[in-house]
Amino acid sequence: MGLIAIGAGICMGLAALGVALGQGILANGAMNGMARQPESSGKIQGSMIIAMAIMETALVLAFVIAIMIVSKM
Amino acid sequence: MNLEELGPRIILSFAGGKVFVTETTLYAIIAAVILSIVGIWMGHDLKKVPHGKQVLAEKLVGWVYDFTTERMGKENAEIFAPYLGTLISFLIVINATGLLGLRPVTADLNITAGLAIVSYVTIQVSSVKKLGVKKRFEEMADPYIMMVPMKIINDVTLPVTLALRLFGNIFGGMIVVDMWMSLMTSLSLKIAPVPFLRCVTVIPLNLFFDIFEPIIQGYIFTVLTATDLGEGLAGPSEQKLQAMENKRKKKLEKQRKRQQRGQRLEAESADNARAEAVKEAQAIRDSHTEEAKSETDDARPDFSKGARDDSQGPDVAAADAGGSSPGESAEGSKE
Repeated sequence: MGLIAIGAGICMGLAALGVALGQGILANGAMNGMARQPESSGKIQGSMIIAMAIMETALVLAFVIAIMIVSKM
Repeated sequence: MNLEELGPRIILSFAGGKVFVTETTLYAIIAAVILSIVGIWMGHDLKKVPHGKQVLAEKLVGWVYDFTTERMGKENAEIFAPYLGTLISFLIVINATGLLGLRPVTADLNITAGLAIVSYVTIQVSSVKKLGVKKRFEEMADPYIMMVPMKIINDVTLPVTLALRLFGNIFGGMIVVDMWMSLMTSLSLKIAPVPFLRCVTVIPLNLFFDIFEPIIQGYIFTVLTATDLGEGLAGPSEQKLQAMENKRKKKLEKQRKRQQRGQRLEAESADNARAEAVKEAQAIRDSHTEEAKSETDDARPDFSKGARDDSQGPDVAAADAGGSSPGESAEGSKE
């Protein structure tokens, strides 16, 4: 039972690490772009939200797997 | 948190538990009926100059058509914009049923899988119908033939990721809200017999998980469907079509050159054969004239202007072209 919990924790932890790094790099680029050209900030914001949601997909799939692991306990 | 009660409850069951209707389906049907009533009510009394609710309706429909034209081109947008509009409005309403205190409808994998399958079948069938199977294959082999396995994998994982992304997001939101509520209940039961801490403290969570997430996830679902639909309907790109045209032209050129060379060779060989036949006939004629000179002239019938026998081949024709009668008559006398 302890190993199952450790497994679920590691699964979610690694996924969160990757997603946070990726979204941080994306936000960096978006902020740079918006600072250079304030008039196109609306378009940049819209595309930024979509790209963030695509990255969340990996996190969400890891979450589903963690739930499946924990529910076997 | 009880893991046995995470799924939706069963409301009706027929045939002894084999066929059943869950609460998810019921809420989805109710939401669909309400949406269709609102849609009919909004668009039923249209005037030329918009006034009142028609302004909102026109804005929504205009937004959906712009969104579709941006990704698919103008002529395809007329066909597919209604489907995408329905998809996004249905998804936003369905994801947000957590606001009413009910279990969110898309926190059930069956609903999201159904929507993803509908989108996937729409993409494949309309693409094959518009382009034909051969062109679709060529589209997949666009820059290079080895792109085909990668594009097939891309196509197959599309409905899987669509369904699982939507399900996971909404399901995760539901679990967080549930856990917060049970925490508030257990906290407030220590102070009073009524769970009063459930009332207002959950509003920030609801704001994020039941208003922001549904809109974003509905938009993402629709955007991915629209982009893949546009790609599937577009066909091979300009450069690939140019490359195929050049290839075909080269092949035709090669064939034509081969034919010409073949004809030229035939003509040359025919000329050669004729020249040799003429030489042979000349040689035979010379030998015959020598023989004929040794014979008497009376025994020689005159076949010079008789019927020509064309079945004898180029010898006779060449001899006729040469126009010398002794050779022919000598042949005739020989036979």
